[in-house]
Amino acid sequence: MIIVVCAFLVLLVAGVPIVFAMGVSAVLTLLTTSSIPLFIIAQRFYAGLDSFTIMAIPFFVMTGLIMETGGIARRIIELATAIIGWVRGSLLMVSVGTGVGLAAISGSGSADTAAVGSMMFPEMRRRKYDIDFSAAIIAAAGALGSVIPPSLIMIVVAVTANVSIGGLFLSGILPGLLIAAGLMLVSYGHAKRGGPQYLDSQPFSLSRLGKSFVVALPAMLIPLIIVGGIVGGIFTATEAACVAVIVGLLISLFIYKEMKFSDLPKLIVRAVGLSAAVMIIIASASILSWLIASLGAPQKLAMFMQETASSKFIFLILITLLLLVVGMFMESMSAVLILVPVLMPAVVAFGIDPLHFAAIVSLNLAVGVITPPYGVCLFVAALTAKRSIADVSSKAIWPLIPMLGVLLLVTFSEEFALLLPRMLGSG
Amino acid sequence: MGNIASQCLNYLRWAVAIITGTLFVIMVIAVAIQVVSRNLNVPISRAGEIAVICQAWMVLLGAGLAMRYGQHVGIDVLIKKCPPRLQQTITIGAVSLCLWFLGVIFVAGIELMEIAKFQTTSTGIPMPLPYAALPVGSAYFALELVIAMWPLMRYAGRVQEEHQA
Repeated sequence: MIIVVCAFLVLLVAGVPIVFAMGVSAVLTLLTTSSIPLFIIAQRFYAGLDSFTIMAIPFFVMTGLIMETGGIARRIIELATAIIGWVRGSLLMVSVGTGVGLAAISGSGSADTAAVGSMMFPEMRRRKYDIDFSAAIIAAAGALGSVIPPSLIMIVVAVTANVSIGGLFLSGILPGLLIAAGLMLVSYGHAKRGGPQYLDSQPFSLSRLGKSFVVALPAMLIPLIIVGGIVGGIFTATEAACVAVIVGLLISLFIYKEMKFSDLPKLIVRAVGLSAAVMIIIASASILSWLIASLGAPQKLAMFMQETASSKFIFLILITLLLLVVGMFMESMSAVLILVPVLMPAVVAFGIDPLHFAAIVSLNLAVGVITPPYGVCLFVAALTAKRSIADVSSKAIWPLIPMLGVLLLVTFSEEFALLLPRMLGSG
Repeated sequence: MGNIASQCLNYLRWAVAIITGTLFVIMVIAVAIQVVSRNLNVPISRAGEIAVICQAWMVLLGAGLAMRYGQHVGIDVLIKKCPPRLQQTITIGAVSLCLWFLGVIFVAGIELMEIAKFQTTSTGIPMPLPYAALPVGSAYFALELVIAMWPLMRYAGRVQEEHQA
C-alpha cells in the first residue's frame, strides 16, 4: 500500500498526467509485490471502459460543446439578463444565473466557467468591475455544473457508489439552487460596497423577458429532456445524454442557425479528445481500485473509521474534512475513483444512505473545483479573465461561504439532501 | 527523411481523428436506435454492445489525440518552479515511467488478445477485436506522448547550456 501511495504522490508532484500517476503506481505495485499474469492488468484496464453507463460522459461533453458554439449559451445569457439584469451588480447576477442555466445543459463545470467567463469578462472589464472577485464568482457559478444535473462527476460517483444516477441528479437540484442564491447574495453585498460601476443595470422589462424566454425556449428543452427523461424512467442517463446531443444539434443547426454542418468534424474531434482524457483516467483507476480492494484497504479503513469515529455525526465530519482536503489537491474524477470504493464499507457500517453519501461526495468535490491550489474552475476562470491564479484565489473565499454553508446542510441533513429523490421516488 | 516522417505523422493523426470521430457518430446512432427500438417494443440489444465496443476504441485511440491537444489533466505547478536542469531530469524520468506503463498495456493487451477465444454475447464479435484497442491505443498514445514531451525534455537542457555559456 505504501508503494502505491508514494509512487502516486511522487508522480503527481512531478507533473505527470493523472492517468499515468494512477496507472504507473498501480502496475508498479502489482508487478513488484505479486505474481499476477500480465493479461489481468490489460483486462482491468479494458473493464474500466466496458460500461454503457459511462458513455454518458462523451455525450454530455459534446452537448456542452454544442451549447458553447451553437448559440445556446448566448440565449441563456440573454434570458438571465432579462430576469436579473436589473439588480445592482447586474453582470455578476447574470453570470450566476447563466451558470445555473448552463449547468442544467452541460455536465462539466470547467466548460461552463469558460463559456460564462469568455462572454462576461469583456463587459465586466469595460464597466470596471473587480475582475478577481468576478472571476471567483464565475468559477463558483461554473462549479454548479458539478452539482446541478446533468453532472459528469455525479455519473462517476453514482457508478462507483452503485446508486441511482437519476436519484443523485435530483439530489443536486436544491443544493445547486441554494448555492446560486447564496452567490447572488454575496455578489449583491460586493456590489453594494463597490463603486458606481455596479449601479449600471438595465431596468426590468416584461416584454424583454417574454421575448428572451421565447428565444431561449428551445435551449431549455435540453435540461427538460435530460432530467425529465431520466426521472420519468423514459431513458437511462446515457440515453438521455445521447438524445441531448441530437436535440442540441437540431436546435443549433436549424433553429438558432449558428452552427454549420462543416463545424461538426472539429467539434466531434474536440469532444473525443476531452472525453477520452477523462475516461482513460477511469480505465487507469480500474487497475488501482482493483489493487486497493485486493489489499483489503477498504475494510481496514472501515475498521479504523469505526474505531476513531464514535458516532455517525463525527464520521460525517471526518469524511467532509477528508474530501475537502483531497478536493483542494486532487482532480475530482480521480478522487472519486480512489476514495469512494475505499470509503463505501465504512459508510454502510455507519448506516448512512449510500445516495446521501454520494450527494455529499459530489458537493464536496464541487467545492474542490474552486479551492486553491488545485481548483479546475478557478484555473479556467483566471485563464479566461487573464489574471493570475493567486489574485483570483485571494477572492475565492467569498463564493466559498455559501458553498460551504450548503455543504454543511447537505452533510448533516439527510432529509434535505434526499428531499427531491424521495419525493419523486428515486431515493 | 524528416519530411517523410512528418508527412506520415500527419496522415496518422488525420486517420486517428477520422476513426475516432466515426466511432463517436456510431455510438450516437447506436444509442439512438436502442432508444427508438425499445419504445417500439422491438429492443435491439446489439446496439448497446456495438456502442460499448466503439467507446473502448474511441477512448483508447482518443487518449493519444488528447495528448496531442494537451487535454490530459496533470499538476505541473510545482515542477515549473524547479531549476531547468532538474525540470529536465524529472521530465525524462516521468516520461520513461509513462512509456513503461504504456509498454505494459501494449504487451498485456496482446497477451489478452491471444487468450480471449470467446465472442461477445449479442453480436458474436470475437473478443480479440475489441481488445486490440489496447495495444493499438497504447502505441499511438506513446507516440503522441514522446512528441508532446520532446521539446520539454530538450528545451530545459538548452536553457541550462545557454546559461552556462
